[in-house]
Amino acid sequence: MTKVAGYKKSIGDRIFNFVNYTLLTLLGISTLYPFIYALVLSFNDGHDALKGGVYFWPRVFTLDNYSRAFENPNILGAFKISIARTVLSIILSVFLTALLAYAISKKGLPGRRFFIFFFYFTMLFSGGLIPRYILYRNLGLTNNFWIYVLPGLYSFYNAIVIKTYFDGIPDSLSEAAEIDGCSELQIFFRIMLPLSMPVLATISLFVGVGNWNDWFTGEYFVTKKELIPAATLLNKLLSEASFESSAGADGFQNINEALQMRRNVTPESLRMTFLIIITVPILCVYPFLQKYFVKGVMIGSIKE
Amino acid sequence: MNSWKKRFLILLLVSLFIVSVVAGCGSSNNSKEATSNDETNNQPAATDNETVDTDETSDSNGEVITLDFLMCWNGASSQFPEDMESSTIAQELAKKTGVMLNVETITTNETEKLNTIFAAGDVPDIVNAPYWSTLPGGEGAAIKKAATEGLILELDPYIDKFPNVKRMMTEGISQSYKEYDVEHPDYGGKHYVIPQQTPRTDADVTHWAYNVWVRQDILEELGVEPESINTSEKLYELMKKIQAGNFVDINGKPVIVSGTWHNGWNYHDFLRSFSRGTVSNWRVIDGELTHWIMDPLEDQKVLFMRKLISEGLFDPEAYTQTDTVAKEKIATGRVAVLNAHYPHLRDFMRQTLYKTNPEMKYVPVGPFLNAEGQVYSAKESRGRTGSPVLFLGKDCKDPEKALGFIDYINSDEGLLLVTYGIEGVHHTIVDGKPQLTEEWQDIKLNDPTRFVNEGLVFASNFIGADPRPSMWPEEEDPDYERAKEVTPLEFYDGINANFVARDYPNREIYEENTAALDYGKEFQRATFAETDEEALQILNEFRQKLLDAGLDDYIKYMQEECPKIENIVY
Repeated sequence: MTKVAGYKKSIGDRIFNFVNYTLLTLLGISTLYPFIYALVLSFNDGHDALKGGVYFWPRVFTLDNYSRAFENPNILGAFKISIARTVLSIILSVFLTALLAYAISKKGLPGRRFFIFFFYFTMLFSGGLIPRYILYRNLGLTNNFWIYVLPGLYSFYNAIVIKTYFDGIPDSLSEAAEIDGCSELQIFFRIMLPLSMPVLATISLFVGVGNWNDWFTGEYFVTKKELIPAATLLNKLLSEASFESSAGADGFQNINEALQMRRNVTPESLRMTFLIIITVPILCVYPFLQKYFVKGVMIGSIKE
Repeated sequence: MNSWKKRFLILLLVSLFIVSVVAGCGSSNNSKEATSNDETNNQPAATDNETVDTDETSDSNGEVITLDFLMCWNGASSQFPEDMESSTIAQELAKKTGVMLNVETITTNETEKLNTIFAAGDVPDIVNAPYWSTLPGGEGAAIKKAATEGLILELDPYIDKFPNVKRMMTEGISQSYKEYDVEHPDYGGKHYVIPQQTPRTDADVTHWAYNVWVRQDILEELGVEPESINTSEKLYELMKKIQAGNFVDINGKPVIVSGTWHNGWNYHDFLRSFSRGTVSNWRVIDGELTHWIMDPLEDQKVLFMRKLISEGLFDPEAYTQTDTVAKEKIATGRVAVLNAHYPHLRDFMRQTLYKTNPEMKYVPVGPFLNAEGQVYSAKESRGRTGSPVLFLGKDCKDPEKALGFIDYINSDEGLLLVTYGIEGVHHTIVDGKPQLTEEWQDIKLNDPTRFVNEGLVFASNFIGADPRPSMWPEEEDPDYERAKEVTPLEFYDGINANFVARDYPNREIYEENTAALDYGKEFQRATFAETDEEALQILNEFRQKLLDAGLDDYIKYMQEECPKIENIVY
């Protein structure tokens, strides 16, 4: 608590601060605790966890849940696919979306309203799963790495966010650059982009997290094992664990019980483990972008 | 930038823009297009009319083709080797049949996957998918539609050459299932699907042994013999004694007298004394055929459950609890009385409660008597009703090899290979029966992934009219045998009345009118009612809604049609 020179906090201020900080601390704990719980369960024996009573630390510590995830021979390849698609998507998507945002932020653009409506329409309707599958198949994108990048290059929502930020940059800057002989592209690269780091960091995180967590594309449009990303593979392992836990599903051979018993893992413990595995990389990246979020917290608000 | 360069760039970008907009239009020449009712598409390539004696087990001519196989079951990938090419059994099958599989598995909804492949026309060479019934909305309906639209290969030109496949299509399936689903009238006498995971004889049928289970230590302390609990009322009296007995779980928490697994599975077994032993939605009460909802016994079921809940004898969370919450209770022995089928209970408890507290073993109580005074039994149609099925895509690369692959697996030699592996390597013959070697028994128990990767599991997904349970019986489990005795398995022949009901002309309208009605939820609501009168009022309101939707007319139709069928079964 900093004291402003000459200002003494009253008792009411102190009480307010105390209550305020207490409530915010409780809020913070309630937000943080589910993640801690997932972390604890991921390191706890699956069958022991079923008995309940595990809250803040593992009761029966084990690395079996992580072994189950990482023993799969495709896991490293899956992570490479995830990293590649995330990095490529961030670079291409952010650049192209910013380009679109810059174009539609120009009030003098011929057909501007038409273009805005054209892209806005895509936010309202989707063709559905089967038409999408047929389209991707016809374009040669199924079982192709670029299925992870190309369809997601444009998001009009992100374009609106960036456009709103561009609207907040004074026109006088770009006018001055124009007078000095800069072309539109030069204005975009030399003036707009450098001044837009907060919004670009925000959009990069949206795109990055979306790509990193996306399991759907790999599940529906890719069948080659070497092309599936980490989220799809982990989802597959989770489905296998659920299938194995349904007794009698394999009839005569009854291998499911042995598959379950080889490690003390359950679908519940695996679910927590995969949550941690998929979240930790994002947590590692976030601190580097945090300063931009602080600056960018007013994105989309009213500009004067 | 020069103005002409700028204009060129603009034109280029606009052209790209337009191309991207129209990219999805038109069709690709390389894609398999869906066709509709074109009979010529159902004709196979020129077939060899020579019959093949499939009792001869000759190797393929050395040429191995790779067929795309879709295992359309969510999560079933754990049954398949990581790499089929490295699997010993898959390689043996390739030598024998000339077929290697390229396996695709799913982790999503089966109906969605089927709709996607049929709509896109991308049907793999062989598919294994659920086929519970061909009523609208499920996988069976999607498969039926695809078959009638020519997306699935008609099997009739081939099956005479493959007697084991033919047997799968005729044996081990109930008469109702065969007439109404496998040989659906819309198929026009043609055959498209091969039922799988079906038994060859009654002895091969899995008896799940659903029972009411009570903790053995509690019964011993109360001095109650399990066989003495043979009615729902006596079960209620036992529950009262448990409630008064201050029993605890492994953590010292008071027990919940009775409960269930996730989402109330399966409280119905507490109501065995209110069952008439029927197998369909239709009942003959006092000589008159009616719908089950009109049965006075339904009132008694509601009142009995309400009694259990109002007296604190049934877990109020049971109806809506998740799998995790249910298992947390059961794993600690907190639920004194529960229901389940034996394999589920055994497999779960062996890994949890029985490891640390074997004295808390659950034992079945009964046998129960039903409302007719007969021993309550599990009823199965002779032959399976609803099953997984195999079918071939219209553009299957080599239908004869695909069917030959399935046929071989279902031969005596093939069954032995895919179940017990190669003699001398994976198994030996002891007293005329195959037995895994010690090494492979150990691998099966302690390294099941290796067992699966060897290929000793996956081929079960191609077996039908399965004789293995009786041919090679597994070691007897006394607890399982006891559970089977308490709830015996009874087979019935004939046409299940539910199949006759499918032909009701206004069935779709009736189902549309009743689609939003959920008896399970109303039943649960009634059991939480404050008074018996209120509970019965909820039940009667539900009945009225069905009557308003046309149930009366439905009943009249069934009263006219069912007597015409000689071997109708209710």
